[in-house]
Amino acid sequence: MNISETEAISLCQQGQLEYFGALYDLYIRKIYDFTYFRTHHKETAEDLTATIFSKALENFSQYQPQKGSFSSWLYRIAKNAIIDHYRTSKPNASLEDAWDVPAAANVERDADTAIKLEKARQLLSKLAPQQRDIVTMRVWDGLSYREISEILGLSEANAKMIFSRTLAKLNKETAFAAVSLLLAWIS
Amino acid sequence: MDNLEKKIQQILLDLYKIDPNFKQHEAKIAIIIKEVLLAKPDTKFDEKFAEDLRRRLMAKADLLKEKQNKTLFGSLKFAKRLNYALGAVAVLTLIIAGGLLSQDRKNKQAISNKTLEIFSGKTSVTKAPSHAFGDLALSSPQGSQPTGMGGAGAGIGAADANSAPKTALGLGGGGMPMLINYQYVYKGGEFSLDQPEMDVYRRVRTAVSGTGAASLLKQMDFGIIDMNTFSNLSLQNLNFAEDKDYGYMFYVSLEEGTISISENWKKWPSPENTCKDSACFEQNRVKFSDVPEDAALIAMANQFLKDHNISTASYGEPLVENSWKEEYLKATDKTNSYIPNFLTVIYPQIINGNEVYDEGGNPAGLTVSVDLYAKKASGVSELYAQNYESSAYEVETDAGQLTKLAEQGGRNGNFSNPGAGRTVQVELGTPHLGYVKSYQPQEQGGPAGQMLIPALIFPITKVSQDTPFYQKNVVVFLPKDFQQTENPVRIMPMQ
Repeated sequence: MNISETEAISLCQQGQLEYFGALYDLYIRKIYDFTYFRTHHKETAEDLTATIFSKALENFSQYQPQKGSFSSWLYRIAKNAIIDHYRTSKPNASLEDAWDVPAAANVERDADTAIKLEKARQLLSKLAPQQRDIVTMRVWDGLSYREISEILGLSEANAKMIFSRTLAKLNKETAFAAVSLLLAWIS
Repeated sequence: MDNLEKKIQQILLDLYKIDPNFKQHEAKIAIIIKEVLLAKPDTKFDEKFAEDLRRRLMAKADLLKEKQNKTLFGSLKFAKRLNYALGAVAVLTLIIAGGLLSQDRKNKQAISNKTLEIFSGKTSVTKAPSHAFGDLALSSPQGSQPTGMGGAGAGIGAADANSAPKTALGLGGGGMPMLINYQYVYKGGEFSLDQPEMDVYRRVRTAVSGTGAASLLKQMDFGIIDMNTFSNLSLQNLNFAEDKDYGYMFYVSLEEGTISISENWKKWPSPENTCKDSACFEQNRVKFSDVPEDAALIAMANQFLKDHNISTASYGEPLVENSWKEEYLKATDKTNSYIPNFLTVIYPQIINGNEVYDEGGNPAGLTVSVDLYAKKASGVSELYAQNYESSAYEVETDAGQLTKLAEQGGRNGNFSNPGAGRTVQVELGTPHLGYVKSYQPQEQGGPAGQMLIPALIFPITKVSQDTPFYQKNVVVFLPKDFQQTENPVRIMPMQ
């Protein structure tokens, strides 16, 4: 199906949900990766991805283009599905994503991923969830600052402001941390 | 140059645009960039999984399409008070967008003579038999409310007031986040409920009259497509905008019977979008001193509603959503604290003499956004016809049971963590009766229904320690249908 994202959105909003497939094709890899970076477990990421697209399909009529991009809307569903996953499966803990889970905790995780992520964990686990979100969204998910700001409910300028100051603060603590954060704020 | 090197170089170039001083550390930064990029894990993406999921979703799409209510014929009525934006000729002009407009005088008159009044500004309730809406607790534990984006304009000034209690995280100094055990304790007075049944309300969607609009659509000559080759056309949504400085954009859902107003972003100045460096951002950043007092914000919102004849007859006294300010005032380093660009004024809906809340315990109703740069109202949302059906449902009257549910966190559950480093006691005061806006799936399928469910609203009166805590109320649904639920429903926060 050779159709643009804009056309597919418009057709879906007119009730022609068969065009949802075009949107699925555009976003399946991105959304799956997004959930994997925050769960570190293949099967969990697959389950959540299925939930995310199912919710998007069921509630497509609620999407309003003038309030933001489709991409940001979909990523917001994804983000909240991940938060819900941790809060329902681990109701006694306040977890935002896998970075909040102690290494020894009984949470499913791909072993090879845990090893590889150890370096990243040294930096990312020190950050507040929102700061961590933006680092991973920018560097790994490749999202623009505008998309990030729409997903997190911030203005683009304020997002940059807050994180540039965070960068300056961390720069004083460790050179490695400071420069790594710089990466997240490149626009 | 391989892909990795290209990415590194691009990141470096972008970095230097922000601050050329980083060029002095290029070698070191390049190494670190490479380390972070290499730390990105292989996500083990499975093509077979993707294909299977696609098949399942497409099958679901077919089912949803069949169930969708395509009957958009009925009387479409716009409020006379909004005619300045929704006049018949204006509607036709905006639909065409550059094509040829049918000048059929007869049809034009037919439209303009059908006074369109979706929003009468008054609440109407039709009584239905008891338990007419079926099992109210049909929703899954994930909840089934629409995941749309609420809030007019940018509406992004408010912090996420729907969130459950947040856990303070230890920052700096390394180490893992410190968890907090929140313990809800009832400290209010005695209360009783003497009504064995209460009304549950279900909003009635407003159907669109396709008679006039559909026939006009078929006669329109778009030049590049023949609309007469299509059948059963119906008008579902309208989008139009004021083409002037500080103009507004309107989105009318004829299916839902709602109107949203937001900034016509092309016509509102946005200094932040023109800034390229931190000095410019800082200069244009909203300062705390720029934020008007609540009374002034409410006055702006009131004036906007008055100027455009938007009735507040079904709403209570307005209030400003100020959760961001609580965090700001508590912060020791205010230079790093978040100040929004927009603030929201909420006019809580009133039904049956009681205020309406959302499932997070926050007032719910008409919202007006105020742009703090422009010091103007920038949009309105949750504007729709207040037409409801009501049906009586048996309710829980045991105060002890209801208090117990409140201490478990009510609708949203709580986040007790007995093994946590510290316990924070959250005190609940004497509840009052309210209604909670909730979206429940319909037994017959189709879009989720907007319900107003009677509930006890337990105010949070005290939090024992200085910890980030944004919840204002605990909501406990009263209908006995919900008392059968083993675990509290966790609603997905989307705003």
